[in-house]
Amino acid sequence: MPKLNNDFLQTIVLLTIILVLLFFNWTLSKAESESSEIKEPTNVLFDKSTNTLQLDSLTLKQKIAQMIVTNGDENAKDELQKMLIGGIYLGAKPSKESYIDSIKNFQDGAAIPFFVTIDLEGCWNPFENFQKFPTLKEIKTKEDAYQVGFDEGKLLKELGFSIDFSPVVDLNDTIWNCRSFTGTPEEIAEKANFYIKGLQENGILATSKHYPGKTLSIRDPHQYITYATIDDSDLMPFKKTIGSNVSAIMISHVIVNGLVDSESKPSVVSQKLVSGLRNQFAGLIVTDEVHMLGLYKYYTDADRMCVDLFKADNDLVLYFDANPKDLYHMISIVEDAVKRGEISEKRIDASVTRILEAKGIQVV
Amino acid sequence: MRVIKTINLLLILFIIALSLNLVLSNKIGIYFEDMRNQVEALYGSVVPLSFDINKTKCLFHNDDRLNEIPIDSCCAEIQKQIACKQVSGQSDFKCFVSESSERYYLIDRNTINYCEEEGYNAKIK
Repeated sequence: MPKLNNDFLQTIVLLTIILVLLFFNWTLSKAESESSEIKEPTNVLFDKSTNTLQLDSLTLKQKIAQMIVTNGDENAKDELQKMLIGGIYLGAKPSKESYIDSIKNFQDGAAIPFFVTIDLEGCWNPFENFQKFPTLKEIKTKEDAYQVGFDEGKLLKELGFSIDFSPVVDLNDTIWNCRSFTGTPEEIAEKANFYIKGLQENGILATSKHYPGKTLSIRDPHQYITYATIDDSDLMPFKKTIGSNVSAIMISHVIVNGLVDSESKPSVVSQKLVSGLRNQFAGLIVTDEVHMLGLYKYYTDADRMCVDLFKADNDLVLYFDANPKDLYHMISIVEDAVKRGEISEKRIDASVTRILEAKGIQVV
Repeated sequence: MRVIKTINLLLILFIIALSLNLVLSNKIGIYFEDMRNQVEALYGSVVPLSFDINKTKCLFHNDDRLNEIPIDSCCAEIQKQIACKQVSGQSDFKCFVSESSERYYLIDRNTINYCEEEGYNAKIK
């Protein structure tokens, strides 16, 4: 009898272990099947000879993916190409050749070319190993601003970039102390316009940031959600650069009131604020990087944050998380919001059309 | 008796097969990451609580000055650099585009851990 009990107990223990292992195997195969949903984008009708793309050939997930710019991690290249992610952001590399090779590697085999982005933000020079540029703070005249913009644009074009998330047109930078132009608001706006002209003459899309201003001047390093009151002088450089056909504007995470009101939310998720800008500006509206705690800490639910970013009128969402699974999760969450009617597909289509056209693609 | 012993033997073989399936497919390592993703999918991801972000260190060196940089901006900036190297004789790391550059970031292990947890990759040498 005791012998029988021992064997029987052993059976129960073994069955329990099997149940646990079955659960492990089941959850993993479920995760794998989710990832395998990402298929080669063979459905995309893009005639490269005429550079014409049929918008309705894209799935909703692919349209949402076009609205995302992520970190250009070469290990994730295949997944980013399959998902049809809209753009990659590149950091510093040791040589011109390493940029050219990396960009070629991403663009070869991409069903729709990636936006290739960078931010030569004031004193951040990722090309330091092979080319020096003055900081925005060091630029004294509008002529110098044009020349720096032109030289940077020429190099960016040569390497294969398409967007520069620059210049900063905030009136002051008390964090890095070198990212903004100096002078009166009028002088800052004028230098920004000449710098943008130099960049855009080389076919690089320039970005005025961070709308609506005061983004780099009020931060306590330990205070993540920040507030500012916006006045005429903050907005003036944005108005001037819009008048000079800047290609893009980046929205900040600061909660603002005054002449522009973000409804007590971070600016980037305020529909009122972003739509207000949309009414004055026909170019690309870009979010600041969405992992920044000024936005991230405002939400307890990151999925809600994803939906709100797309629900506001942003065209490009900067999401530098290097994990493609997190990107896929974000796309799925936004797709669900469109399917249940919280975001209209028409609004997604409008952004994707703007993005494709900015890539030089004709959309039909 | 013999029947139960045979059943137990078969169960052991089944356990071995299931374990091999997990181990050989190199799935064990990603299991916990995947569980985290599932939890996030259910409850929404939140800022990790394992770090006191007020104890992280991130300084930017420029013009012989060190400016304190907010941790969230810091993670994105660190990821952009070519490399981060431990400063000799110290626990801090210097992150830079060029080793001789006067512009660089000075961060500590807490910052590296926090940024990695947030999905950023500092290139530690």
